[in-house]
Amino acid sequence: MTTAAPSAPATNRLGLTKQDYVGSKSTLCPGCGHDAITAQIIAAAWEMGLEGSKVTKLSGIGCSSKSPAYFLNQSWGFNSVHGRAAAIATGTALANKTLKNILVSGDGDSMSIGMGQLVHLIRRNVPVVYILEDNGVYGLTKGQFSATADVGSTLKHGDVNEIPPIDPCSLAIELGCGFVARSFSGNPKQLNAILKAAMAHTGCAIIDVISPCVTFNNHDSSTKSYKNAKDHDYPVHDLGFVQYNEVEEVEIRAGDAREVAFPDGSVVSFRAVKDDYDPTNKLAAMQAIHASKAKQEFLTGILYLDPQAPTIHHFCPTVDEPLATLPQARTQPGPEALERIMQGLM
Amino acid sequence: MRKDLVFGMAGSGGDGIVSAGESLLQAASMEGYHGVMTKSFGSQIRGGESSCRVRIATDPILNPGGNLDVAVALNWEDFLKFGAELPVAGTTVVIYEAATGIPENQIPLVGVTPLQVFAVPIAQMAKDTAGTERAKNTVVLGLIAGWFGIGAEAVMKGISKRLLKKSQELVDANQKAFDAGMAFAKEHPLKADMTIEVSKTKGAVKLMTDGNDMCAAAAIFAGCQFFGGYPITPSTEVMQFFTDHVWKYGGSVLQAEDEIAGIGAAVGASFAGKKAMTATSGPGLSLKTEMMGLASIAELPLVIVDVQRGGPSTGLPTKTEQSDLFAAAFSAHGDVIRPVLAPTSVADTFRTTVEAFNIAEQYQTPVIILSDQEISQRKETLDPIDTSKFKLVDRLRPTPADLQGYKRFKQTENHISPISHPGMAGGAYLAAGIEHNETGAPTNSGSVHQRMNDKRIKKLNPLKERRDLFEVTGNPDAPLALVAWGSIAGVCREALIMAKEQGLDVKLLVPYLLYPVAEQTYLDFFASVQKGLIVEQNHLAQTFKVLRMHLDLPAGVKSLARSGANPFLPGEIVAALQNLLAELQRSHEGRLQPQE
Repeated sequence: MTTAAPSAPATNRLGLTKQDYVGSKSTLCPGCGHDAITAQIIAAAWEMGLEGSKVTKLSGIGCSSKSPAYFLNQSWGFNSVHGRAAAIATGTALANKTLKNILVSGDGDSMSIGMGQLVHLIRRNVPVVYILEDNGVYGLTKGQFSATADVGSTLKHGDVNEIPPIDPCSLAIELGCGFVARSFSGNPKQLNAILKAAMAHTGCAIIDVISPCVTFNNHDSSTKSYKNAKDHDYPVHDLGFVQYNEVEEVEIRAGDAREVAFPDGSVVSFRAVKDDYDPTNKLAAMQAIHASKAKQEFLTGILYLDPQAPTIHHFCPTVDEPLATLPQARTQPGPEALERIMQGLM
Repeated sequence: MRKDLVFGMAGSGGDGIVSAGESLLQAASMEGYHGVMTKSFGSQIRGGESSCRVRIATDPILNPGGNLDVAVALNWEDFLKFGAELPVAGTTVVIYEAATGIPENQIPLVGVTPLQVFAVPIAQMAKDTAGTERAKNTVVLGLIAGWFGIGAEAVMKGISKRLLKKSQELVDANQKAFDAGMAFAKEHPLKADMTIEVSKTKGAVKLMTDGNDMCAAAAIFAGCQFFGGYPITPSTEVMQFFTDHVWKYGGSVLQAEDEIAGIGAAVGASFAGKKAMTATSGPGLSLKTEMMGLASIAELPLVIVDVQRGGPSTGLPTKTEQSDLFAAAFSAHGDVIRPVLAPTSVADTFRTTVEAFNIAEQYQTPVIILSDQEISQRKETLDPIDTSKFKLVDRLRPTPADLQGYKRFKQTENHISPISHPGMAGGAYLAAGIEHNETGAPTNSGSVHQRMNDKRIKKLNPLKERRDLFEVTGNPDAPLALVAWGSIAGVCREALIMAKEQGLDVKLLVPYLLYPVAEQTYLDFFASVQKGLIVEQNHLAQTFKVLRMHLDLPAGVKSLARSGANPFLPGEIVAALQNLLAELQRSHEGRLQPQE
């Protein structure tokens, strides 16, 4: 990886070094796109100054789902069952409002077996940074097509995919997701800004990251190869993210940048690359995604953003304190309360 | 005078049969009687046939009773659909709608001559008095109060409680319909006095509730603050009751997108450090199985309620059966034991549910409560629960010392390791479905897998020593025995009383803990037994087979098993015991003994 060294000091606002945010050594294939994403999760969490003990790292099953072990050793991992991390995350989020939940999934885990859970996670706007590491194949089972494989893409041994893919981004926008982004594991700068903005978002953030599988899907006839992704990566804007505590100090360049603020005061700025792109216009976003698809490009950036969308805590009223530490007196009905329930039954 | 009356009523949906049953039970509870009410429907959502049985007695009762003392048919077609669920005998008084046009000597009950038959113009009386046929059920209640002496005032109070929500005029109109029923009864006396004796506890008002509500109330009491589930008959009311009450204590409910997500969210809430539960019925239990495996290997406390119904698949979704024992005990993948508990009545659903949470927390394991449609949806009158006698268990949380170099799955003497939750500084670990070492790091090592399986299975051993999870009644040295669980236990308790009255020396074992099988408890129970019956409501004799898998049953212990929906009657169990006794006597006399 050729990540530009961050200009931030060697310790973050909590006085922690980047080393404090690493995890165990990766056991994925050397050169795997997922490891490049892991590096940016570590960088973003460190730069944001996330409090490790208040972070969960949830995943299902698959190569991508192994990666929570490779970042944020001070946080709570849950490597659960195939496709269901979204359901686990929903329960965890409801039981503890104070957590920052990072969920790592793959295209098999999310777009096939776990589709039902994912769409309801989005619909309920559960506060989760959902990183979909998208390589178009099942790596752990040695290279079958997944539901995001493009029409015409081939497997190593020549099988051609003829079934149209599911696009996680247009699906998420359609379902009302308030933060929809696409990126590429080979574009660390953009991914870093997207991850930080997603961590500032209070609802569900869906990030589809094209992450080439170097072992099973990196050949010339694959549309999810590193080369093809690099050649067809079409960033819609240059992103800048400024966290709430730095807003005062950082001067956002005037000119053609759009800005959108998060509820905590953090700001994300969008500077057009070629054509103007309004990430707050849902219909325009859909149109742009469809148009780029026709041109076989990967439109990347924050494709749609609505930081104000009500979250699950609005739909399912929850208490502010974590349930696990609520004082007993509040959680257990005393004899009087039980008496009242029983009176109701008489 | 009678001490015990069983009413069975059937009609079309909309006839208000179930409401009438509820008013009758309400009246009984206000008069201090003991009562049980079960409902049975066709599986149509609206319309179709509906029925209820209400049993009212001066002494505590343990099941919904056998043959009907009083049968009410608003039309015969619907009544007959319930078959053996509403058994009419020579001791039954039959009341039916005269507008059916069927003469009293030609009612369509084959091979039975009821004690007395009344064709009553129920619909006409309702129209004449209340101005609408909708008051038919109130006329029926008037007839019942008139003939069988359950306090008229209380019955009318029961009706008012239901109708006052609508309007006072409706109550007044129904009062007239009720009076007309009473008057009809007075003008047409019964041949024999069948009025019920005054309750011994008259004035001591009882609760009137069902197993699903009881289960949810107990869960809230136990400190459960998260429910994730998906609606499924006949367990949905657990979620409903929980939703209505838990928010007062900070908890929340997720009506999930499917059965899997329901339990998944509960696993997530337990991971976040809080007691959590889900509830379902057979098909949902199958869907939840993979998540139960996750909770087992991640050692997360969790309570799963399975309200059994007729199966497999949609089966008989509104009727009771005990056919999920295999599924509850064995549907896991991998080597795992999940404790399975079963309540036997509405009243002990409270205790069983609290116990399930205690076991789940104590041993960091998923626990299944195997309820059944009858217990879950039947209404019982019961004394208010004395909650002061319950001890609540919380999971073992790490001490500051444990958090120094914290090992989530630390090997300990009793195989139970302190469990942290997100937010607890120093307690971070990786929960996982993949095998892991003591710190939680993933591993492929066969020897670690062996040690961890050992830990997860051995930690449950103390459960088998819990004699308080079994109830033994009758002479400890009795040569005859019954074993039954769930709603069938109530039938057997009553059979035991009948058998004793007939001079039989019988004892009864009721397990609340079905799995793991507490071998020694059964061996001790069977030590004196020469003949016995394992009574259960499923075709495969699942309990009998599970017991045989774990221990050598005495050769004279047989299975009495049949599919669900149709109730077991205490009388038929006593008859089966009489047969066993006869066999026993023949063998003692040295005659030819049938091969076991």
